[in-house]
Amino acid sequence: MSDDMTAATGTTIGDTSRGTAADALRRADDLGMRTRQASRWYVRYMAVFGVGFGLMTLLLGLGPQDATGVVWWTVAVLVVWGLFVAAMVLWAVRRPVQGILCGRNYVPGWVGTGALYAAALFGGLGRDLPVWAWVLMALVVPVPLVAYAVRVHRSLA
Amino acid sequence: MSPTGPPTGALPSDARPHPRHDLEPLLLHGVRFSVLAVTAAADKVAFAYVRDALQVSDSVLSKQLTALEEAGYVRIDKVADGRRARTWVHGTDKGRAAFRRHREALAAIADRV
Repeated sequence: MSDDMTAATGTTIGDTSRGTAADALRRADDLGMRTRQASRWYVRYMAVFGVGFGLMTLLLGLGPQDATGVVWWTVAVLVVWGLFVAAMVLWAVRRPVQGILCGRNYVPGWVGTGALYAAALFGGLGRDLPVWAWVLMALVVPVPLVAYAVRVHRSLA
Repeated sequence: MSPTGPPTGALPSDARPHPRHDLEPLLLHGVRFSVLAVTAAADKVAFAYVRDALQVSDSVLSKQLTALEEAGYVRIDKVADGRRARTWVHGTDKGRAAFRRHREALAAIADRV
């Protein structure tokens, strides 16, 4: 195999004809598309984190309300959350393709869910809210992150 | 004696140069062009992913990555991952621009009637 001929393109493009140009273009577009598809894991990552934030809201809101119980419950839930976050981040950094769509373009999703989560906890904890109120907040908190997950999914389709 | 027309073989004044002149010389190599096709579609990609996607050996990819890195088209990072080092290939703005120019030139050649 000559230096200008590769398994990846299958053609020599040093002397570019219409046919070899079209072939090189097609293969490059295919590689780009497959690489973007390989960054789809970020959709699952955002969706799972969104559901996790919702579950955290529910667990903290429906936990014991007495002074001693709330401390232990909160610590226990936060430890589980910390382990969950660590596992998710470790999984994410090991993905072979870190997509160009990841992170910065989807900050509003993270900020939105984070703000709703904080508002739910600061506004709800210690106020003896009914169960339905916590269930409602647990359903609302993930919405921004899940919405952006759907957006990523559609952009990669 | 004054000329009565353009010399034989000369381009008409409104003729555009053939798009092959816009090709990036470094990207005439298929592996290098393919590496940029991959890195242009991501923030960073693992060395092993690029190798498998292009179906080339480690040594062939390493050699071409060195050429691309020297041109400023990619950046290579080695990150410790347990007892092994994980190699990441980052696309640079310069590399993405070169890939775009080369791709547009190829498209112009492919579309040329």
